Amino acid sequence: MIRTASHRHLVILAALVFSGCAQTEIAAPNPSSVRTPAIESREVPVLHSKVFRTILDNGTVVIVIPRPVVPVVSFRIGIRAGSAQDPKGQEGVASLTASLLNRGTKSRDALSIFRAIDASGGDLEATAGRDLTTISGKVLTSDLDPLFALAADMVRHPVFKEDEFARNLEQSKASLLEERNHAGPIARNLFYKSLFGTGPYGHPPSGTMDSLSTLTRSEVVDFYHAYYRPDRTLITFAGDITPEKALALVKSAFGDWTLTTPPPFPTLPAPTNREAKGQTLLVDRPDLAQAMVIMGTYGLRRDDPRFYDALVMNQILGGSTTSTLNHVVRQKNGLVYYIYSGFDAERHTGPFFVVFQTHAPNTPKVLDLTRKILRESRDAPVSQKTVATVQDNLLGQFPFRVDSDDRIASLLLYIETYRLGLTYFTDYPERVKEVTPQSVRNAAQTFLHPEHMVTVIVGPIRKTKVQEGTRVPQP
Amino acid sequence: MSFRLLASLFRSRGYATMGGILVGTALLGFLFFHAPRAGADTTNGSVHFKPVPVVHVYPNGLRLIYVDNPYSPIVTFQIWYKVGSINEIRGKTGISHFTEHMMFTGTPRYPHGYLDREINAIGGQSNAFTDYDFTAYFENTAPKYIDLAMKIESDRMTHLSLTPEQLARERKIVLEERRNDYDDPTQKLVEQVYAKAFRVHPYHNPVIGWEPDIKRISRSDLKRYYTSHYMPNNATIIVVGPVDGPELIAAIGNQFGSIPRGPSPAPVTVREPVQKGLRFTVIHKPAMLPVTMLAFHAPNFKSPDSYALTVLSTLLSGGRSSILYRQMVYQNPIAVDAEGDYEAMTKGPSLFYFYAQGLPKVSPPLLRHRLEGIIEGLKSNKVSKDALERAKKQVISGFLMGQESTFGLGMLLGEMATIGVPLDYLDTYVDRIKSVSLDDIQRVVRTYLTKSNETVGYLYPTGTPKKPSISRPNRIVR
Repeated sequence: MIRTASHRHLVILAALVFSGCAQTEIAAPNPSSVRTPAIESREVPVLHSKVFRTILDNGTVVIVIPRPVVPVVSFRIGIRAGSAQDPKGQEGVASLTASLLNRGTKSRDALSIFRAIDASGGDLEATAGRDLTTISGKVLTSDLDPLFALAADMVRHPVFKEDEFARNLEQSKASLLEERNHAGPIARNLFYKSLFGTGPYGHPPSGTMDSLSTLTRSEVVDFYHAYYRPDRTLITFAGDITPEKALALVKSAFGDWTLTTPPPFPTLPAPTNREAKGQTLLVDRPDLAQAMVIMGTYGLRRDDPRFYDALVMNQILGGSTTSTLNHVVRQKNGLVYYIYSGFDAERHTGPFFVVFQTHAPNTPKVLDLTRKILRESRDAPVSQKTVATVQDNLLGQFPFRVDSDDRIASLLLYIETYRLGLTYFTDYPERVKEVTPQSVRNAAQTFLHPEHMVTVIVGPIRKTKVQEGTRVPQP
Repeated sequence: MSFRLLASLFRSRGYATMGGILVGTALLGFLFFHAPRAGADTTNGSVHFKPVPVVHVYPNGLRLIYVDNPYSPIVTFQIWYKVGSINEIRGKTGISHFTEHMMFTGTPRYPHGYLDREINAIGGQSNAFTDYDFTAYFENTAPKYIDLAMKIESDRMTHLSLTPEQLARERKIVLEERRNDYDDPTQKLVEQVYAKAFRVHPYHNPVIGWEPDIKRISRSDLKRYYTSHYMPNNATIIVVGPVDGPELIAAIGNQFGSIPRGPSPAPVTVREPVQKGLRFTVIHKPAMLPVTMLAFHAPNFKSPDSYALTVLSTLLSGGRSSILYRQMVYQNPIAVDAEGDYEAMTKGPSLFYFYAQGLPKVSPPLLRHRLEGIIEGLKSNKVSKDALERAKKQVISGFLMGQESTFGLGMLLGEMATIGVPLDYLDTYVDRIKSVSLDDIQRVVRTYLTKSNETVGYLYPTGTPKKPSISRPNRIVR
């Protein structure tokens, strides 16, 4: 494992300090086309390039960062059709829909799609997350056109054949079955469920055994028609491609995709700034030697203005190898294999959480110590020096978020999904630098509630000697 | 690290030697790197840059290969030592990896913890890996911090403290790592198959070493191993990122120039005798799913057949249109995953191996039956021309796409330099792949995928399952 100061839950992004102001430019009108959408652009100093964005008439957003060093292009087609959009009782439908995109379109069966992808020499995959379904492609510039056309065909003309549906449904059930062997997913799913209930983030993106057992092909088809729409589609490119070329590609593949149905019923918003009901849930797994623990409460949305304060606060608390939690619980006391904290900051409010794994009998000790650290982090002031150290770390990490075309294309999708704006690449370092000891303290007081946390423990409960909590059957 | 995925192309027309300096500037050029196009409108004024790998050799034998890519947001600094488990002797297996661990335990100047702290302070990444043929260390940072990497690596090339306390601590950690390997059923199977396939060659031993050896390796063993392999003339530094060549050469010279050359380690001369008959290994472990592995001795990059073997492995498992995915995973499924893998870039002899993880309740012999059926089919019937073209296209694209990442390009250059792959090998790579014919595929299948050259491994799942995983066998990342 590559040791970095970041971890995968909290999206930690920073940028180096650059001068140079962002400018908006409007591309020169192109006489050969009737209407050319305005192209916005901003500097991306970290890449010595620019970012370009435009919106087609049908609502599809296109964003490009040209980076023409190597003849390779990465692209992402994001559809606002994530598991947050799963209708009640159909949990997992977004994920299953995504898995079927490469299993047949009006003009190609699954095997010819597989052959076409491999013949391009590139990669093309579709997956559903909480907020988005993403089709990811990477290919040599010379083979971009056919691969992108194929991706568009998958998005616009999937047929969801009955036998392919049945096959992928079986695979989804098999992987859920497999997940039951691992404490991590069990703990995480229960934690999200108890915090977010029936809200958009309450269920796992892959669904549950209950929901998958009743899911039908027609529900997949209905989901597809409701959410796969040009005005819910974002397309990003990074690599050896000009904005003009990208726009031409998108226009030819998606330009005639028109809205035929009214927009879907809006997803219910997730609860915000609610105080969690403090409770402990225990899942007994006598076969395990270790206890897996997740504890936490409500965090924030990614577009929350307090995000950067929360980011720095979390880095100090448990977001890096030199954080307080890691230093005290792991290095000083040797009580855990790992411990870290984070925010899942997405389109809706996600959790703030602390995760650790420990030898079962140590569980009460680690719980007490963690709660104590959380209380102290909430109550005690933070020094300017500590804040400055974290700021340097975050600024130094930022280039790694954009060190390949794949990462850049994904980051562009992220920026658009969470409405962070094209100025993101210069905003980020500025926002990080604006964080002060006082704003960190405010964030700690807002987000740390050691008395009202949901705590989920999966492991050999008797051996953990935990005195609190409610037993919950293994899902 | 698969050669297919990481390799890039450069042209070598020869070196110019100038006072001990090998200059590649005008001579080595990435065939597929090219200057930004006019339409790309990059904001940086220097649109006409053309990245080229430059080789520089210092008087003490240290080699530097750097690529200036002004568009890279990061810089990777890597130091590759020509030492790995291939250099180990019986009774001391695992000493390369153990040494790698000790490299993080500090020197008098930079004590234990210093590196982690400093790297963390600048948001960088630092790690190391030990393999059969090499041990490599790297620091990836924002470009302005490259000096930190030089400072740390030059210091620990010769100044390790190797205190008994640190040694005792690391031994526990390595043994724990070794036990985790035992717990991982697939890893265990891979290890057994390698040990069966190689009887004499050091590839017989897992990179992490055998447990009794790890327990017995002494401080003086480590000290001797360290001083006889960690020296400038046994190392190559790779730098990729926005760098100023002359400044970089001077800075590295300042840091490493005064370290004296050492006696070159003896080359590994062991030869594996030709296998004469089927070999078998069976393990019963707690696992989720059954696994079958078939391994066949195969030549490395030095053989002209390596190109056909590379294309063959892609025909078998490159993407969802590949033979194994289609026949074993998609249609008439009996496996969740099935692969045919081959690594051309090895110092010693290579293996062509098949790996299939079955659906629950599928027996390992059934997996083998299906795999061998496919192999026999390839001996009697040629694959389609379309399938061959697809596979070649995938090999070549993978080859080029791999060089897009700064770190990945560094890895490729380091691995080549350390294993001893000549640069003209890459010069001709695409053409050699393109020229692989249907006859070549059939010939290499008939030549290498034979019963007398085969080692079979079965994993029968028992009891409580554990998550299976497969990566390239034996690559250890700290």
